[in-house]
Amino acid sequence: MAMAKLGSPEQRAGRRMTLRPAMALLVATGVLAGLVAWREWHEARLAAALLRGDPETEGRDPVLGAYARRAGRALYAAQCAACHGDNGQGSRAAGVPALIGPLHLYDLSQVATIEQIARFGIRSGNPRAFALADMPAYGTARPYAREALPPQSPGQIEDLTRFVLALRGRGPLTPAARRGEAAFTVSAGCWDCHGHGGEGEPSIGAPALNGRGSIYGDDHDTIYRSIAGGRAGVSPAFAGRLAPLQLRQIALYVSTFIAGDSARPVRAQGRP
Amino acid sequence: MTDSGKTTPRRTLVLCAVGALAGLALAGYGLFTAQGTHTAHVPAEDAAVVNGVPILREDLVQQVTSLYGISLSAATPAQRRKALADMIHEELVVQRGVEMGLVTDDTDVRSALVTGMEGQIAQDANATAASDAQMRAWYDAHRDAYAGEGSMVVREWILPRDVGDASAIAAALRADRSPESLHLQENGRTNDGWEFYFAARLHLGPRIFAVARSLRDGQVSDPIADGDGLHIVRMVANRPPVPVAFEAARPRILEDIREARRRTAEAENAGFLWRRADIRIAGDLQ
Repeated sequence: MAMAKLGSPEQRAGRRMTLRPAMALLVATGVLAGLVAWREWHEARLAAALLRGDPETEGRDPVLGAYARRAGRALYAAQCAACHGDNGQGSRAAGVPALIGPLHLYDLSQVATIEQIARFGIRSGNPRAFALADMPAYGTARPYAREALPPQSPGQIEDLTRFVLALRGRGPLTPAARRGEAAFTVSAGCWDCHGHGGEGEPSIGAPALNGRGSIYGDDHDTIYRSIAGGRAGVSPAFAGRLAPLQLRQIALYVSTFIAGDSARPVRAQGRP
Repeated sequence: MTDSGKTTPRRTLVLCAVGALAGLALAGYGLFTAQGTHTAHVPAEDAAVVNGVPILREDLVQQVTSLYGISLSAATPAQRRKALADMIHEELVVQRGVEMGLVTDDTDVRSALVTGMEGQIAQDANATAASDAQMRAWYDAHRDAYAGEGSMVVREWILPRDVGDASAIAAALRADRSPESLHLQENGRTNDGWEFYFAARLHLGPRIFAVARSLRDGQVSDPIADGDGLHIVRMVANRPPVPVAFEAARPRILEDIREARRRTAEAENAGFLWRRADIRIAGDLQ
């Protein structure tokens, strides 16, 4: 009777034939689910380690650093490259500073600083944005909203322009440039942000004027326009748009621009 | 052989019942011991969670750097605990302040909140981009705004009270007679060579500046009556504002587009807040 319930040998063989593909599918699904779960768990561990680590040192860790830069490259392409360029080369036309090269507004040697800038922005409107100083518009009635600065005449601005060109090695130290130097270091107050020697001040984002690299260009007309019309570039705040993990990943990726390595074109990658 | 082939419905039912009872017991335990929603562990991006409010690790990094001038990994455990303790204390005080109604009572807190809200709107507007076509359209519609400041070199004389025929003096100047021969005295307001228009307007006053601005190089104005008497100006050199090329004006164009978006967003936000609010105004103030 029990044997009758099991069925004939042919029926039992038929049932085994039906069961094998189902079992195989079940096993394959289980393996796949297991792999996905393991990958998720592995990513979560890396993410937690990245967030809990010191941003200044974890870039040197081969596993964490590679993980951060891989994700950071994709995030940079999506969020930053439109302005800063695929290779961090910036844009003089738009007044966007390069992330590579010698000129940085702020001290980007610290990954934490890069992360803060990405998070709060520069003159972004966020209360914690980097916004301690703007370039005054000396060719206007009120050059600077935060402080009473004296407007400069066209001749004085021309003298300042000549001096800045001389600082950059793009012009001689003519009498006009010397008058500009006097204004730079005394009357116009330029030294207060840019330093007496034009060395800049990274704590407030005042660029160096005495070396290579410039944000808007270093020809006469551009420098004149910067002094006369002022400058106040904006970098948006990504707080609330990107998660803390993503901000850390972007910061570690951008730090490779600053360090000078791995500045490979974003688009040249196989996949983000 | 017969025993192994028997079905055991009773065992099946018992196992199902045990499972159901276990599930009910777990649910009951969770229901009667629940203490409200809270995070049982600290998420990786947080240094601490205070009454459900996170303190970000990123902020702790900044706090350590601000306090000790060193990176997080260089800080001792005691330094990290001190920095975190300061942040936790601040969070507790903030939460207590909210509980006590400082948000509604303290003008400094209110002012900071308003600034923060306005900053949030500005932040959203500043995060937007503008296409080349949008920027070009804006530039074309506001071309005057992107002209440089005009400049001029102008000489100005104030005529003596007993001048007699002021028009004759203007005609004499046009005939290249020297001001000294006409006993004219410069007013001294525009002696410094080139001046931007805004500076010339400040020095000459709006009435005289308006006349000066209309003069070409070398032209002499008719006598201009101003509060302190009659004035005559000679335009030595006049450089009206020159439109800045689109490429050179690009950074300012984007700034202006964002500013316009910010104003629009502020107006929309204000409209939204007013529409959804239940506002009752006293009768005598309606």
